[in-house]
Amino acid sequence: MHPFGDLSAYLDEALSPEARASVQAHLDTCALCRTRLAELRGTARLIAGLPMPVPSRSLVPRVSIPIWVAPLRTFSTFASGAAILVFLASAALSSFPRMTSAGSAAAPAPNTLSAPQASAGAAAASSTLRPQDFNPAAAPSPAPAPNTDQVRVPTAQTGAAKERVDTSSPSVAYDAATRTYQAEPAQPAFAVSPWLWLVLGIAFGALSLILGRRLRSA
Amino acid sequence: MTNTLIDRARRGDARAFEQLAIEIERPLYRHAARMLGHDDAEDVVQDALLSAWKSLASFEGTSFRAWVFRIVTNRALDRLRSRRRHPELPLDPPTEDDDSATWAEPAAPGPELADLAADREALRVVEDALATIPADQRAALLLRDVEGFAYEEIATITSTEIGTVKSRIHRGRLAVRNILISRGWRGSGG
Repeated sequence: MHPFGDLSAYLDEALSPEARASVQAHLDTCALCRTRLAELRGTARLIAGLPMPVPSRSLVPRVSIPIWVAPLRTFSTFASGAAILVFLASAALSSFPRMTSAGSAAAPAPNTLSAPQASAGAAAASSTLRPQDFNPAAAPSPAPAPNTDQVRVPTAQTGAAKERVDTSSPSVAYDAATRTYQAEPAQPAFAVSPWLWLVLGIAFGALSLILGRRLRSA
Repeated sequence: MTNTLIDRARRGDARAFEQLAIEIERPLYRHAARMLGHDDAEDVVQDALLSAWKSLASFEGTSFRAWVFRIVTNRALDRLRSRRRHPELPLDPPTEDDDSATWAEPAAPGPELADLAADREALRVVEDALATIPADQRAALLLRDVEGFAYEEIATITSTEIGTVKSRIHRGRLAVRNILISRGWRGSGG
């Protein structure tokens, strides 16, 4: 009786001493079993000699990194890009009104100045406004309502110039020397400086770089 | 060194665990890839390592390597079972007596097995042969011939008796041998 079923275990030295001795005694007298044993040994060597496959990426989970680092890095990267885009857009738009305001001078003037003054032409434009001529309730902007002294529209010699003052949501600057208020173009209340977006973009970009280095170093 | 890392990892040192995982990553992937193919092997190994980290406190054995191989092997076998909506081969078919298992005879003289190691095509035949044998036999055979685990360790890894391990290894090895013989190799080398 050939001990075929024990040959692999014999090969792997996994038999008890008694079983091993029995198989060894059989092998000494059986050429067929020696051939079978050699075949199994050769098969095992072939399997052991197969090339090592290599994973396409690291499979080690980054357990030393807090779980929020990777999402925060992704957020920072996108936030940086978005802030810089907003910066570029706002920088471009900030120059856009100056280019188009002159072209829109023919538009009807809103309500800052009283109707008689609006129709008075250059003379009225160069005139000095009295406080009672200024109607803060009618002004659309949050500019401070002057209640003392005089309001004067400077250098607004033409209807177009007056229009520019009126349509740009004027604020009123106080001139202490002349004790007059000067209407001048003002930024909308909701406007944010483009530089703020640039600073945010740089800050988020720096945060993204720091977190990226943290992820790589782990 | 490894024992020190294991102790540190068990105390919650994540970097120590990552060092342990780096040391064992390649062998785990090799085992999983031969069990499952390359597509699922990466996911299985990564999931298994993460699971090992989370359950490291429950590790009470002496061999961290065998413990992680057990996790990977179980996950690989589970993955194979989940694929078997339409099974072609059972994971572990009913066994017959190992002594009466069929030994194919070479039909014609061919190269010896010892000559095959340098033959890339022959290595592909060996890989294909491994892929055709039942998964439980393949797992035991790979753990023995490739990873070098002892029969007792393989029994622990696969949660079986040593007698079952012995049978699976022999039958798997014999099946691969028979496939090689059927390709014309004599197999008398070694």
